[in-house]
Amino acid sequence: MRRALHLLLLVGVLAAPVAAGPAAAAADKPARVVSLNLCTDQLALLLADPGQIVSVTALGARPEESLMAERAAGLALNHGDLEEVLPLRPDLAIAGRYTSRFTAAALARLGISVLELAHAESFADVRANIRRVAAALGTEARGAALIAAMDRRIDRLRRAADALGPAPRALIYRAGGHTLGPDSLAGAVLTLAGFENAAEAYGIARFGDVPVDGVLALSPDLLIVGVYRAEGPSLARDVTQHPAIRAHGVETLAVPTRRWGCGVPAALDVAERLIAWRKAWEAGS
Amino acid sequence: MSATILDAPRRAEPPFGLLLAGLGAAALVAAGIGLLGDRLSADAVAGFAALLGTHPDAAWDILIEVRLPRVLLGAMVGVTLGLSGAALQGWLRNPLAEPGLIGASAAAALGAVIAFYFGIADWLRFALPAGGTLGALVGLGALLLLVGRDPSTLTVILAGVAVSAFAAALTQLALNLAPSPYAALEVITWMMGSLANRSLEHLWLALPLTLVGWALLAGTGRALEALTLGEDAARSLGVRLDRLRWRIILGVGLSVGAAVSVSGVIGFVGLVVPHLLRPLCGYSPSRLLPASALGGAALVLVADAAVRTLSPGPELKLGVVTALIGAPFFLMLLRDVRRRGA
Repeated sequence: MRRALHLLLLVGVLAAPVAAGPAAAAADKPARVVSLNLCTDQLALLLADPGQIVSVTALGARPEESLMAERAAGLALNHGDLEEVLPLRPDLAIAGRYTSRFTAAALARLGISVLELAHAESFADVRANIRRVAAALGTEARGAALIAAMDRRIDRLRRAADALGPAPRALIYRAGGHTLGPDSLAGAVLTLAGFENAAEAYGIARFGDVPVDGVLALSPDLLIVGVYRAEGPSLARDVTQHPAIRAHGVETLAVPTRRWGCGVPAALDVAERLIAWRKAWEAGS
Repeated sequence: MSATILDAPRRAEPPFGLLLAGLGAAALVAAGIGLLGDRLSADAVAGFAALLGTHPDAAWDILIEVRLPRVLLGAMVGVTLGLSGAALQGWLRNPLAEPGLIGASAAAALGAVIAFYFGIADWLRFALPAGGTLGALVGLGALLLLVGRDPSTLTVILAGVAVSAFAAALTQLALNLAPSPYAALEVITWMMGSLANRSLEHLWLALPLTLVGWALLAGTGRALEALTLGEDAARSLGVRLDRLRWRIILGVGLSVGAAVSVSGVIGFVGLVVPHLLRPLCGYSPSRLLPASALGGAALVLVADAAVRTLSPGPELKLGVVTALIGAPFFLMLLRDVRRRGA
């Protein structure tokens, strides 16, 4: 269930359009675009012309969830329900592959263009998703510029990481002991920053759970703790705060999940932060 | 006087000291399995022994900070449930009375959930066991109001079902209203119980109230003994029944409330254990109390070891195992009760 929740929360981008609207001519841009998913909200707001987006999700307007919340001001907010979206008379809907599936399918049946995107699990996925959303919005030039800027930043970060010493071992640790392996976007950010992903040593490639005793057994140099809405108490949150982790002296770094939960270029901010941590760690040890 | 009561139904039961020693040994063996057993089955983590060789400090921390609290909490919860079950059965003279079935556990879970998910326990850690205890006491109060002055076997069980169902519904409601998105997914942990990811902090939080509850319940042996002769006879022997009632309600409320607040609802332990041990104790309520305490600890620890080592995939909830053992037992007892009533 935790995994399902995770997917629901984080799903963003990519896949084939479920149905191309009958009259979707490439030349004219869609003028009334709705986004049905927190991650597609952020991509759409990055790439769209002013006024092109008419609605994003309620999550996408909350600064504690979305990196693009300020740009959502004044837009209609939806919860992925058909009855909220239909009165907006959208000509394009952008949905995540695992969220609002009923709404996306119903919109497609009604002849509205639907772009369905899978969650980005790598930088290649982020590029592909940006291209796909930009193409659907008719803002290809903006998409290309965004990708170019992202690639330049990736190169810069890689050089900064390569200039440092041996790779520390890090484990991403989220509510309930959830972790991400190298075949995930967060894993790619970790690798870019020059870390060894301890989840791999635990046999996890994409995602999985590591119990508290597993964390102690792995004894990573850094535990990157991120809890979605950490202000609300839950048993899942308390796993990341287990006294044994402190007692064992595992160093922790808090990185809010929103910072790298979605496949947007701003996820690279985390790589920047992780490289800064490595510099301090090497100076200290 | 009480010596004759003890002697009357004596059959071929084992010496009492030996029984206690055996139950204690069973609990210790189960605790040992709990300390040894682990779920580190992934390729790279070859096992605890290997870890002990390569990273002794990590192995030591796993033992002391992760597994030991789990075993100690299991023992604490087991003692509480066994003792409460034995005391309730003796007091109500009802073989089906048990903290889970009479609704005390579910009400305790409601109190703990409210204290935990709405940030009260973040602000004051002790609010967690206090919330559980308050919930259990409210649940017991509701039960007594529903039962009135006629605590017949089936009335108590029916009232318990009502209290349990209401408390469970309110718990689900509270979890849905809680600010954390994970709360609604954690209802199973509260309804079926689990000792996973507990720490020594939970033990220190729950232990004070639990110990007070144990002390109250442990002192009821003589009164329960007299009560086997009926209320009038007990009164004539100098037992103050109103005082006994408060002792048992407070004892169960404090210990079960604190236990549930750190483990969730673990059902049927308080039903099965006193029942299995009663013939071995010569049907003496005062002997049944310590025997059930140790037996409860043994059963919970065995169930927890089973949950950890036998779970396919994600770990099973502890209450699943105790219910698998206890529910058929409950049906069997119900059949006996009906037969005797008919």
